[in-house]
Amino acid sequence: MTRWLWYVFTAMLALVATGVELDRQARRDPELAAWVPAPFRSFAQAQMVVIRLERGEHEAAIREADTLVRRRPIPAESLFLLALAHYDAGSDGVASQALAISGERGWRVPQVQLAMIRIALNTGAIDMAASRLLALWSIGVDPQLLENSTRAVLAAPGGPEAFGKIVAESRFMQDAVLRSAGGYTSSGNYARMVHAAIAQGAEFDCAVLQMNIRSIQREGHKDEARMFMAPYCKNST
Amino acid sequence: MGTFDTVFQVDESLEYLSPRRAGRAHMDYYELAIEAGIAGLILVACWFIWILTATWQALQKLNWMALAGAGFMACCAAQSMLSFPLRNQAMLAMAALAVLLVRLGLRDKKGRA
Repeated sequence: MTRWLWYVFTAMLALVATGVELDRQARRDPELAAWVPAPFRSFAQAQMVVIRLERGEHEAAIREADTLVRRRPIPAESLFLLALAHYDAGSDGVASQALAISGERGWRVPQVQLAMIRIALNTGAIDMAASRLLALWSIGVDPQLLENSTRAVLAAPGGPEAFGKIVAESRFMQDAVLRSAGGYTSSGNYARMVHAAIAQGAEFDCAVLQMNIRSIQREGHKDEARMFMAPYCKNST
Repeated sequence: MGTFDTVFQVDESLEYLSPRRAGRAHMDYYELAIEAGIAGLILVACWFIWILTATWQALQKLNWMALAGAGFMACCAAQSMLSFPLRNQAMLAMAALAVLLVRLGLRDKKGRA
């Protein structure tokens, strides 16, 4: 009898393990989501919401998103999907609340950062837009997406200064921003951004900085170039 | 279980944000507490009590096989302060073998524990 109980127990354990593993794999293979038994859907549940949204099934998308948030209430992604489902169904109030909460759940969901940048720019909350932009730079997103967002934030009033300040606080992104951000905005905005970052204590690679300064000078913006060249790269030519 | 990365993201600092994720806590007891709460910590405490009791018995009997198993588990417990040895499948299998060594070592010749 004990032996049979043991067999039943191990078989049940195997079933649970299979369900859980299928669910985890659905993160990487979305087509698996539908095959995950309903009680085991956690990561797969997010895919189910996406499937419903793509099919335009508004009510079903909300139901699936509610289940997702019940099962995985912490990730920003769950709340963002709930917001999307409600936006699609036309209930903007709930959607805005869900989006606001998802914005407080970290920096790693690009769609949330993009939405927060848009909201911040519309409401003039430029520091928030700058923080969200730095998050996009830090997590590594599609270059076109990054370029569009950087252009938008740096073109906003106070954007270069706000972004420069927040970049100075980043441990890993200073050089990347220094190298690439110049291509996404005007020389003047770029110079103001770098100047703000230096004023905040950023430590840039002087060789890269000089290269960019020369490029700005070649474009005829000598005053902007002088803004940060003089105090920072004192021994440069 | 397996939610550390997700939970960590909520309080992740923008200053240290990079494409690389935290993944693990590098302190398995913390990670277990975050993921499994009190239940997980009670389970760990039960294992500690079992290992300590088994080690004491092995020392009394001077049973080297059981002591080897207990020693292995003690190493895993110590390494878990700085890493996550038992989240590696090969190490988990070795730990299961260590439990078996202790269990078999402490049995008397008639097979009783």
